[in-house]
Amino acid sequence: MLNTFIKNRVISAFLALILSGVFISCREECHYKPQSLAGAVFHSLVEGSVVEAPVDNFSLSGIGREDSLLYDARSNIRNINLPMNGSAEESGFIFVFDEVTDTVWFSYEVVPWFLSRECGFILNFELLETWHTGNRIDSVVIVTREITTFDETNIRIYN
Amino acid sequence: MLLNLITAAAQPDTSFGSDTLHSDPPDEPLREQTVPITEPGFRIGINISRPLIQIIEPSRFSVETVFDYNIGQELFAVAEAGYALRDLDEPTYHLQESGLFFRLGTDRSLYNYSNDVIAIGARLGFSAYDRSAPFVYVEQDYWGEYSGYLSEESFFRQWAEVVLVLKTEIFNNIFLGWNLRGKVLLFDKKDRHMEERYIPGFGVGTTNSTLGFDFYIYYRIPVRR
Repeated sequence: MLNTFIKNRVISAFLALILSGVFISCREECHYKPQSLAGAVFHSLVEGSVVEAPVDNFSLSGIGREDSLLYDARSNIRNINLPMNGSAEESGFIFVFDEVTDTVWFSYEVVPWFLSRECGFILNFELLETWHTGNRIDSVVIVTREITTFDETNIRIYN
Repeated sequence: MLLNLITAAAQPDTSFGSDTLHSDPPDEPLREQTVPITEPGFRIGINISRPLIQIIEPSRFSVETVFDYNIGQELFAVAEAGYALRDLDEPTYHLQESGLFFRLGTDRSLYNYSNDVIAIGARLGFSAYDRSAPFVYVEQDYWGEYSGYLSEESFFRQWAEVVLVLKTEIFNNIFLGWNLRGKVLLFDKKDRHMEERYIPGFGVGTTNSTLGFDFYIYYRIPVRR
């Protein structure tokens, strides 16, 4: 009978709801918590045109964290990832190209981003401005303001 | 599975159709073989799956009531209203989201006999809710600890639902029933701070669509026609 069919479906669904709760209540761990880094690409003037070009003997550290190098005398570096400091409104970095040093500063807005219940928050950023010294670096251009976990180019560095 | 259920419901049931009611040929459409609703009434219900969810997930609390009234032999006007809250107090953050929600729509019965109902329905849902994070802590790989917060913000969201409804009368005027819902956010805007969103009445998720399942108990207040 069809109304018996409905009764069975309604009551069995109720039991299934209770049983499914047992599985839902098992909480998962945060397996991977990504970090939002500003992607920067080096550009140079080569034979009259500006192209992406690698740099050699390149070192990088954050101002205030000179003891901890992000890149240590690395060669053939085409692009780099810069971690902005969420505890400040600006971050500065020391770029060393073959013993020629420049500092580059970025100002930004910190945007806490809720990933999931298990992983909690990470920090995204919205770039506002940049300024730099000009020993080797010619200019720095912001091309994408939002720094997120997407692997994007945010900055072009012309040297 | 839904199609099977609806198809099963649509099969003629000769056990009551030919013997006890009238003698329609067996290949008559189902709707003509079922009896009219003889006991119209205003039905009020509560969602009993929500307290169960709170037992499983103590960080979530919600209450919901539902009202339906048969405005035709096969058509029910439905209104649902509730309040929902998610309060995640974790070692690295504290996130609070709470608000009211409403759903309005109709159910059309595919099968209705002896007060047992299979129906499909549509709803428009609305939620007005607030969100804040009084405490956010992030361990940064290079720069060390970050400690901050999110100020309280208010939001308004709308969504559409397609609903499969089953109800059965377990005692006189007391019904048990469940709804399976497919929901899609309308005019969705990207949230600046949330990958995983909680929208009262809509649910938790990272996309603009979700499925929901609710269990209700109803009392029907009979009315004279």
